[in-house]
Amino acid sequence: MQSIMEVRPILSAMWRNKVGACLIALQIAVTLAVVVNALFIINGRIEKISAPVGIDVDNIFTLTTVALSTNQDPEQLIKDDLAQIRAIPGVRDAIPVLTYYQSGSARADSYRGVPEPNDDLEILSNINYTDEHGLAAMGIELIEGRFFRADEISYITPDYNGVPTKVIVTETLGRKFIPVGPIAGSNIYYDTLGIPIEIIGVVSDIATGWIASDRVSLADTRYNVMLQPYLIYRSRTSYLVRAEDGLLSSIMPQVEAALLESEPNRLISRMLTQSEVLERSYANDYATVVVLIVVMGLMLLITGLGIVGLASFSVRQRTRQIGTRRALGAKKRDILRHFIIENILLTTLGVILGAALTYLVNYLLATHFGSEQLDPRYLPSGMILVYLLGLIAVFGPAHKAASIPPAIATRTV
Amino acid sequence: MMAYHLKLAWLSFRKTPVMSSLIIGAIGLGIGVCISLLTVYVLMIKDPAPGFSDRLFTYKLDNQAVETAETSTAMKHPLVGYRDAMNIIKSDIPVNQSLHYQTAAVIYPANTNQSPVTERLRLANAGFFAVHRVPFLYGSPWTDADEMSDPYQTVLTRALNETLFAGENSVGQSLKIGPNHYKIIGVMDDFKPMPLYLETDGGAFNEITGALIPFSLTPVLEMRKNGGSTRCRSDPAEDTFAAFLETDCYWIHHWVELASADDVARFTQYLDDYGLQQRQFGRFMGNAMHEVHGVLSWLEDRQVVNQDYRILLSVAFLFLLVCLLNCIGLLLAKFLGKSSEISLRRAVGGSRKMIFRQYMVEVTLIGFLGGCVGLLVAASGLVGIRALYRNYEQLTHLTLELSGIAILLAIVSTIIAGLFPVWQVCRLPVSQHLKSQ
Repeated sequence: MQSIMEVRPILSAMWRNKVGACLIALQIAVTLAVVVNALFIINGRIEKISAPVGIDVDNIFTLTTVALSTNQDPEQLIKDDLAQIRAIPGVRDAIPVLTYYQSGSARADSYRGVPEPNDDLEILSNINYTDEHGLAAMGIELIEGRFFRADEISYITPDYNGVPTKVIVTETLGRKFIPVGPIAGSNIYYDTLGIPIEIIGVVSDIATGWIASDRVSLADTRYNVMLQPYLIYRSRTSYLVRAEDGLLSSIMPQVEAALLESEPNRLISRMLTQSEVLERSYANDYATVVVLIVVMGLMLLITGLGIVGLASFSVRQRTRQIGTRRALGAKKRDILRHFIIENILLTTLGVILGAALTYLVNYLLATHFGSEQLDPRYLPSGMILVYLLGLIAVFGPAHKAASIPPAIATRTV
Repeated sequence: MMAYHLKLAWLSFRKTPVMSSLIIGAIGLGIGVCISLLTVYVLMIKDPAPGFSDRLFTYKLDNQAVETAETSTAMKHPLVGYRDAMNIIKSDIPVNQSLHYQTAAVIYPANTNQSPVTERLRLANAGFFAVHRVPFLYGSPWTDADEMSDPYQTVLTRALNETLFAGENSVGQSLKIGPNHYKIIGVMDDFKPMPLYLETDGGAFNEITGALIPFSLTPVLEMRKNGGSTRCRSDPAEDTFAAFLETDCYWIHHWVELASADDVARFTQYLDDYGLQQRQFGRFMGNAMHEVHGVLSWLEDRQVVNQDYRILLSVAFLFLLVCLLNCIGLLLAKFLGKSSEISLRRAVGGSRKMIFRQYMVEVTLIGFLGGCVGLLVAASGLVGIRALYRNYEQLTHLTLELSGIAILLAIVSTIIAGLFPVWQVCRLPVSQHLKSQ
């Protein structure tokens, strides 16, 4: 009973300063709309950035090397280099690679699980090369079958146009070719070549080179990696090196030095840890998260200050009224509660407007900028945040109001 | 009169320093955030070839091996293959044509103290320089005749010339690129079309770096494209580069300069006719509908502006809205706090119009100061953006134009926010605050 009777004078006090109240309600509404949509987008991006990558990100780096003298045999150079790298204490293993994993630069080809050409069954695969050290170098698991043997790795020239007779696929890719039953031992086919290509092994999922892409057409293919047993020198070649736990930063210069010592007539470039590669691939998503957090924070700050301003203004305007109430027996607690309830009512008005505005903003973002449709579970979180903001903001002025001495009621000035 | 208004406005600031700073600060923050993001956006969407972008065109061919009534857009490739490029360039409809692609090579400085470096290498025809209006610091590019008779010539970008020759005029000197020696015949001046409309597949805001050599060397040097995309519809018949050139692989950039709308229509027709003619080889079996794009429509098609960025820009404007709503409240409080002074002025003869003018001047001044604060905020915002987006280096410069827009936006939005408070102030009854209580 008491609370209902309290609400009426609060509402009439708000009505007296309806412009101020409306302005704050509008600010709260816009803030809610932005906060909810921002939290939704941020969460989506963070999920995207945290997608598992498969290889041992913390301990891997990749480098590129170019031979400067024309009388080096590229095949021998690669084999010697890898032997050199593997001999360094602290290096767990190393393999030759065609492209840097998850870098946005990738070789893609479509293969299918049936011999007859069939456009609907073509599966886009991210091709990368490896030698027999792939499991240890990438930190992946063998799930079925076996890995390549040393005698199955061959050196190819840049214009090589054949397909391998044996490949290894990730579990996800394997299941797309062979929906049921064992994948290892099955055959896949390429283009119009009738040659069966045997899947000799299945490994744990590895993220493709286009993992950071937003293209809807690529969404289903993010773990479609196929390993082929080749070494290649296309005017340059790249090696992936995995360090023992924690030794990545110390072995990187050692690897560079060892390669330059064994063959000084060369260039070594683009030495990137896998974390750096991922940072660059996800740079856009990361930036979106940071900018949204900054703008969201500033908006909450400005709205909070606005609430402080309005509350202080009301307190100043109603000083006599408050003093009178205190003189008539209201406790400090009652005054405090009055202002808190007023703030909650105002925030509620803002939140109701804001909820509608949230959906409007989300609709506009979705239709014009391809954003996703809002998951309604984010709305309550945004509302709680906004209520908390209001309460924190109003506390100072409410406290000041409660400290107004009853004696004010009796003063004439 | 204006000086009087300004003086009163200034005095009013001094009397309520905290509140005035809050208002200016809020506007500054809102404007600053918007302008930082807007700067990058404006540079992302502006015409990269002002003055001649309406004459430049590129195209997408629709090459399908199977006769079908559909035109799937996936079939239309934004790059062209070697065979088609060599055929289409024979057309005399365009005023000029540009063919180019990039790769990488090791460059050996003549100065043996400097070690060899891997640099970008661009194979471009003579028309490339004319079509894209490439400016030269020293020397000049090769001619069509040179491409056939004397192709071992090179043009350096300004940056490479700085690295190798400390910016001096290196024309006439010899440079070893990869296994061959080239005569330097020219050095480019700064050439930074933004976005890089002529090559969007390697990074639309990248710069052209390294050295350039004639496109006619493509079958000779056998260097595959590096730094962009190559898409093949089928595999080459043999293991050779020559076979690769014959295959339906798409990797070359082809831009043409067309003098009039008529010529655009004629060129489009030419492409269609070319497609029909190629049908005898089992190519272009689809509807043979080709797309011809001008510079701006190409940038749209290639989706050069990041959608995420548009979302951020919208959120920034919503932030400005909240800042302005805040300002309305603050301005109201500030102005109404002076009700007694206003009533007094009215009582001694000041007209409503004068009060209105006074407060509009004050609001404009607040807007101007807010805009200045906004520029400072924007400058730091741009530093932050540069740190977040690695390749937006060229896009994060606060131009004079945008600074002007910032101040104007600040003034206009503050005036709009101030309209209600000023109206309220003008409505104050004369006598109310003259009473002692």
